[in-house]
Order: sequence, then C-alpha cells, then structure tokens
Amino acid sequence: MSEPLLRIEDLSVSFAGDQGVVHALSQVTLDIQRGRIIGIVGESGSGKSTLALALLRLLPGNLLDCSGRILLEGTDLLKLSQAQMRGVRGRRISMIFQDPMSSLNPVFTVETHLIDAQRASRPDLSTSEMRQRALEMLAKVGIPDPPAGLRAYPHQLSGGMRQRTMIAMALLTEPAILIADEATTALDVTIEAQIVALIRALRSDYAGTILFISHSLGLVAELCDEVVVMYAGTVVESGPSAAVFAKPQHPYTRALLECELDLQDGADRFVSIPGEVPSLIDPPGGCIFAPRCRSRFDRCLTAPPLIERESGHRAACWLP
Amino acid sequence: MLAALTAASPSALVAEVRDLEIRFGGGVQALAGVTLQIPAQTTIGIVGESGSGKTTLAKALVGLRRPTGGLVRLAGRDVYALAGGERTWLSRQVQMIFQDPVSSLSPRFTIRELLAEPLRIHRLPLAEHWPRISDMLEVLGIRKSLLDRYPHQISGGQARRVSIARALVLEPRLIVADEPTAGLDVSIQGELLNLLQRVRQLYGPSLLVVSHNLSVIRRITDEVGVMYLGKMVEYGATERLFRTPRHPYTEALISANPVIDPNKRRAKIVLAGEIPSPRNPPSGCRFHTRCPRARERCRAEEPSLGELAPGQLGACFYPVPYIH
Repeated sequence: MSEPLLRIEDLSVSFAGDQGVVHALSQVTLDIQRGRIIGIVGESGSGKSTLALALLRLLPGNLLDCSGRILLEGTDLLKLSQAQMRGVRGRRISMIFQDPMSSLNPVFTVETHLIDAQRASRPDLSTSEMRQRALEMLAKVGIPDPPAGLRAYPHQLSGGMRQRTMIAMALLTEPAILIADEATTALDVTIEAQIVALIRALRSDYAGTILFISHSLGLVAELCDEVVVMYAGTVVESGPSAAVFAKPQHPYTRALLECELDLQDGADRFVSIPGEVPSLIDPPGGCIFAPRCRSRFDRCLTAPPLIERESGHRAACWLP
Repeated sequence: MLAALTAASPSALVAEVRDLEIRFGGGVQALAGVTLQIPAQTTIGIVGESGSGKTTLAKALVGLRRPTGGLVRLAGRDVYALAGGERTWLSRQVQMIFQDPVSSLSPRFTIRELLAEPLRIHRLPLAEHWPRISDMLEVLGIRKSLLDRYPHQISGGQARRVSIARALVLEPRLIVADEPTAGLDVSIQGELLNLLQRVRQLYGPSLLVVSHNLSVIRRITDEVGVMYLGKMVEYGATERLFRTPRHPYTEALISANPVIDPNKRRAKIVLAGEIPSPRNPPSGCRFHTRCPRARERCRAEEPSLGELAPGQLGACFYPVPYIH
C-alpha cells in the first residue's frame, strides 16, 4: 500500500485538570489513506474530539503534553511552527463542528465567509472568481437559491443550511482532510439524512479524506468505509466498516453493539455495559477496558497492542 | 387514542387531551388541535422533529402550559379548571421526568431531602416517609450511602435514578418523560430503559415518552403518535406503525433512522426541504411542501385524522400503500 495520507504514531495528549492530570489520549496509532470516509466512534470521554483537535493543534490552554507524531504526507505537524501550522489549518485540514453558529460570524454575510475562506488557500484568484466559486459550491451543497444564500447572514439560515454553508466553506479550500465532528448531531433526523446524502454525493467531486466523528454507530455503519473505535483515550479496534460491524474483534466493540436496540431481538431486558468509563485522571494500568470486560483474564494487566487480525482489521485485545 | 376505537370506557382513561391548541406570542402555533387518550397502564410514545409540538404537548399534560383551546383532562377532571388549592391533587396524578436529571435536582438539598420533599409537600404522615423512600431506593437501585450527599456529588446515572424516584414516590397514575435517553451513551441507555420497565411492572403507571429516538420508542411503547408541525399525523399500535407506516412522513422518518445491520436497512427516503416555521405553517396538509406523494388536493385541503388501516389512524389523502 502507498504511503498513507495521514499517519498518527503513539499520539498521547494530557491536560491539567482540577483533580490531576487527565490522560485524554494514550498512544494512538492510526494510518489513514486517501479518499476514504473514516468513521471515528466512541462514547463521551473516548477522546475522539481530542484526536480531531490534536490534528489541527487546537488543543485547549490547559494542555500539558502532546507527544508522538502526526505525519501529514510525511510532515510531522507537531514539529511545525505556529506560522507553518496556520498554513495547515483551513487549507490542508478543515473542520466542521456540531454547532455551526459558533464557527460563523454573526455580523458577516455568507459571502464574506466563503470568500475569506478562500483568500489564504487561493491567492491566485480575484474576488469575483472567488465569488463565482462560492456560488457554485453553494449550489453543490444544496443551497436552493445560491445568490440569495450568499447575501444571507448566518442567523437567517436554518440549522441544516448553516451546516451546508460550513461544508461549502470547508470544501472551498480543497483540504486533504475534512474533519466533521458530530456535524449532524444537532440536526433533526430528516435533515441529518440530507446532510449524510450530501456527504456521500460529494465523494465524486472531493478527492480528500473525510474523518467523520460520531457517537452514532448506525450513521457510521451506513456512511463510512472504515471505522475506528475509541474507548477512554485509546483506539481499541479499527478496520473496514463492514468487517468491524459484522465481526467485531474487541470485547468493547462487541458489548457496544449489543447495546444497540436495533440489534436486539425484542428481549425483555435491555443490555448495557456494567460499570463506568474509567477516570482518565488515574487510568487503570493494563487494558483500559478490562475492569468492565466480561472476558478479562490475567494477561489483561498488561496493555495489549493494536494488532492486525485480518487484512486491515485491527484490535487491541489479548484474546484471539 | 386507540381506546376511542376499541370503545374503552372513559373512566379507564388516565388522561385525555382533546382538540388541544396552544399558541405562543408572536403567532407561533405550537399545537394545532391534538387529541390523545391515555388508557391506564399504557405506554405511549410521541415522536417528531423540532417544532412538532411534542414537548409542548408533554408540558400541557402536566399542567405547565395552559392551552389556548381544547381540553386536558386527568382522571376525568379539567386540569386547567382546578382551583388553586388543587395543585397538590394534580401532582399526585401526574409527574414529569426531565431530560437533564442533574439540573432538575436542587443543588442545595441532599438526596434524602430531595426524596422526602414531595412527601412533605403532600403532608404524608411522617411514619410513611421512610418506608416509601426506602422502597424507592430498593426499586431504583439507589445506594443508601448516597442519601446524605448533594446532587453534584453523585454520578449522572445515580442522579437520573433520584429524579425518577422523586417522580414516582407519590405513585402518580401518569409519568411524562421528555427525552429520557437524550444525552445518554448507548452503553448505559439500557440501564435506564430497564428502570422504566421495572417501574411499569411494579407500579403500573401510564407513561408518555417523548423522544426523537425511534429505536427507544419502538422498544418500550404500546402505542405511538407521530407529530409534525403541531399536528398528530399518524397514530397506532407501535409495532404495526413501525412495520407498515401509512403516513408518508412516518415512512420517511423511519427510513431516515440509521441502521447498523445492512440486512435490515430499507431504502432511504430523503425528504426535500426544511421543516417549515410553525409561525407560518403551509396551507392544506402541513406536510405537503416536503411530501413525495403530495398532489393538488394536499395544497388546498387539510386531511383529518381517520382510520387508514384497522387500528391505525392517519391524516393523509394519499397514504402509503398498505403492504401485508
């Protein structure tokens, strides 16, 4: 296989919390290929958003340590200066968030946003060319009346239209990686279906990779080529979507799927995973899932590495 | 509502909502004539998207939203015609479980005080307090060691149990739960659903569950109502409605729900356009602007809720063909 677009090696991130050091990510290692839609799933506190922010080096001010390597086409993003990093954000890697209103400036029109977004990445274009591209992009993301869309202020748009605008803004910079962090979570389900259909349709035009972060296993199963399952700051399983959902290799993935109501066949008791997500302040040694794992045994006192089981399908578990 | 079809006697109804209309200031019509009957020991789900009026309906049922038209009756009495002193009667009939349990518990009370508060307000004999509270601890699995802690000192899961206990301690005949699983990780959602089932089995209240989570509604309710822009567009026995939705909106809503198992996926119906503003709802059928089956008649005339299949009510001129 060719060199991956993005290679994450032993990425660990920790923050200073009120009660001690929070180990938000522990030795995350991942290869991400070009032109794929990768789902990153996990529950609250699994570290999926921290991973996204680390890729952009936008981690909050209480960051204590960020170690390891994040190689984007061979360049280690963690070694770049702030000035160099500005050339990556919004150009090589763009991100859309759950709440588009927090990323759109209420005093500027959509036109200003879409043109400003291009200035840095496309200095070769004139303002009228950028405006033209903005119009075409708005049509592509399904804004019904693009010229009116350009004139609108963010508050005049519905949630779905704001998210479409964010996607347009992100794609105008032709990023190698587009990160969508719970981008459809706040939307109504019929509007979510529209945005997911849009992302799927964009694939034919957009050559980059999409990192689709979500807590919804169903959404990831339907949309993504590959899936990365995170738990308490670690990657526990990764692989082709179909394989991970049909034959989960890690006990956590298996347990999580058992909790999905659609996969239970009407039994009287509902399934949950006993116990709670461990505190990231003083995480247990060994396998992080062991305290809640049905199948734990002596060896789980040592943390298992992420090992390839079948082609491209990896799991961090000592069990065969 | 099916009770009407099966001619259950009105006395068997725990609650009844008739032609309920609620307008807010600024011309927003949150509910535009909703009728619902809640029989004893029945769990009813209400699903719908933003602006459908599902939360307004829930609030009207517990006496928190005075209607601008229509009726809300609990145990046969008009909730909004009660004398001031009868509030306590009302709160023994119906209780609400809120979406965010921690913020619905006063931070200045200990868990013990929080659980005793309803009993104190309702002047239950002191001798009954501890037996009732200890009953709640047992049923809901609240650890005794938490009694002297404050809400911020207990886990979210335990806080959720405390807030259910507070709703349950007076043994109301109806519990209204607004988005009870929203914000819960899947891995702990089952725990809450098991609690609700246990409460049903032991105390037998009727439950009205408002949720956008179709999987939850499908699994825990007997009957389900689908709302769109302040109207009930379809109503029926839960499993039947999920299997053979007749209203095009219900069909689209169910198809939009993401499914993990590729063998269980149905063709997606992606609705065009947006949910119109409840300030200015469309003419005729409110769903016609997004409906793939809409024809001329739907723009001009509003369909009323009628029987589209045995035991299944819907408001549609051109319903989805019935597949056996």
